[in-house]
Amino acid sequence: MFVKATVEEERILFPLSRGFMLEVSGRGVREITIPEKALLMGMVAADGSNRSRREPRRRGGYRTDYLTAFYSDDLELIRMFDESANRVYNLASHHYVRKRNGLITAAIYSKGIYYDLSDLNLKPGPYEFHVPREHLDDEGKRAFLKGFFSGDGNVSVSGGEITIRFYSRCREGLEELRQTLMDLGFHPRGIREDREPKGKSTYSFLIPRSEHIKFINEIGSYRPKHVRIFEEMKRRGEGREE
Amino acid sequence: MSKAMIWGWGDEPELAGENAEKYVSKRWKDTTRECSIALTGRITDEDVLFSITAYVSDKSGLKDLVDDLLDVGLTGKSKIYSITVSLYDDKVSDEERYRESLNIVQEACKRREQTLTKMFRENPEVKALLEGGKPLIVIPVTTLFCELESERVNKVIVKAGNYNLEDILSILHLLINRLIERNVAKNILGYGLREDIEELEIDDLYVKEGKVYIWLGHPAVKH
Repeated sequence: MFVKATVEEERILFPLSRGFMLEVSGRGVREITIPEKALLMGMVAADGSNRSRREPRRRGGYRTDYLTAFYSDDLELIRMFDESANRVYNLASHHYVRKRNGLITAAIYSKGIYYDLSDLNLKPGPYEFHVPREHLDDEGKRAFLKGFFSGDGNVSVSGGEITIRFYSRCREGLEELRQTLMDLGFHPRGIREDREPKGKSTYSFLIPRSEHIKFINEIGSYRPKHVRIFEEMKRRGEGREE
Repeated sequence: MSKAMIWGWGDEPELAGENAEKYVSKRWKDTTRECSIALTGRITDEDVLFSITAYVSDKSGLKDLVDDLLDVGLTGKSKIYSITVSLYDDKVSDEERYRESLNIVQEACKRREQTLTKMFRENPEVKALLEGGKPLIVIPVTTLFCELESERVNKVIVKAGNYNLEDILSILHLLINRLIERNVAKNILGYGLREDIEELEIDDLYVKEGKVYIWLGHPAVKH
């Protein structure tokens, strides 16, 4: 039995467990994620991991460990990861700080979360990510992008000019992020490769200046440095087409 | 040549050296002459992409070297994307030579900007916006290299790139100092600038306060 359904003009939403909702609309029925789960997925896609490890036991047989983690040097982002995990799964993470450089690991050891995110194909392979667009409505897409951008996005100033850029070493995932932005009416530039013949290339794309204000208003970031620059840009009216 | 990514963001930092040692002990052959360890990452505050590549001819001490490189890259405001180990049947470190002085490289950057301004002034899309005599500001992606001498390894190459020369140099020197502190490198041999004028493409183009701005990036990836 559904405790509460939300009726909107074009759809009805029924809450399900683990941060899902059942969306019923003229286009059909699908499971979509609540924004907090989309945010959590975006953060894990950018800077996290979702993996299992099977190890032999001393007394014979095997033991499997399940880990969903987020890594950052920014306390605000760790707090956002924790809040989202608590809201979606009602679980708290364990924190480990690497003394030499302050890198924080927020780790959740849960078979349920591991399989939940694996079923969404969030991390299809090591060092890869996938945007589960089929499970995201527009609000979910914005939350996923905000989560990803807070981790692997950048706002930088060069000669007084500002760029907003997404980075990843996973080209396919980055292309899916572009598509997600296009679904929301953005026109991101093409993906560019920073070649690294002896190592792995890094890929990036930028948001054109004409859409900076749209990006700040609709997507934004939780990273304090981004937030400071965005506030200053809004104050100065930066990013509008002349 | 054999090449493998032995560590990526999300793996335990303590595993990097161990993974490198395991990979090399399996793949090192009698014909192997050199091994490169390449770490790629990004300094998040300055938005500078960087890489550090160390070349060795001896597989002993590899674990400690990889751990030291990871510590150099993890500055507290950085993300390390990958560590890749490659094995070669030739001494490939001889191919990479960056021996210019810093002044010469800085001058080359200025000349490059002037050349790019001249080139893109003729671009039809840019030309249309320049009507009425508006000034053109070109902001190209720039990549600098630094070659370092070392007593511990054959050679170390540090690369740093973004759109602001001051930031690039500041990060390049931050990484160099950290490499020297950890005894991975001894001193600077020289600098180099990536020759990429012909391949740069328009990434963003707009008019602001009567000036035309053009951001130039690496070529777009083809599907």
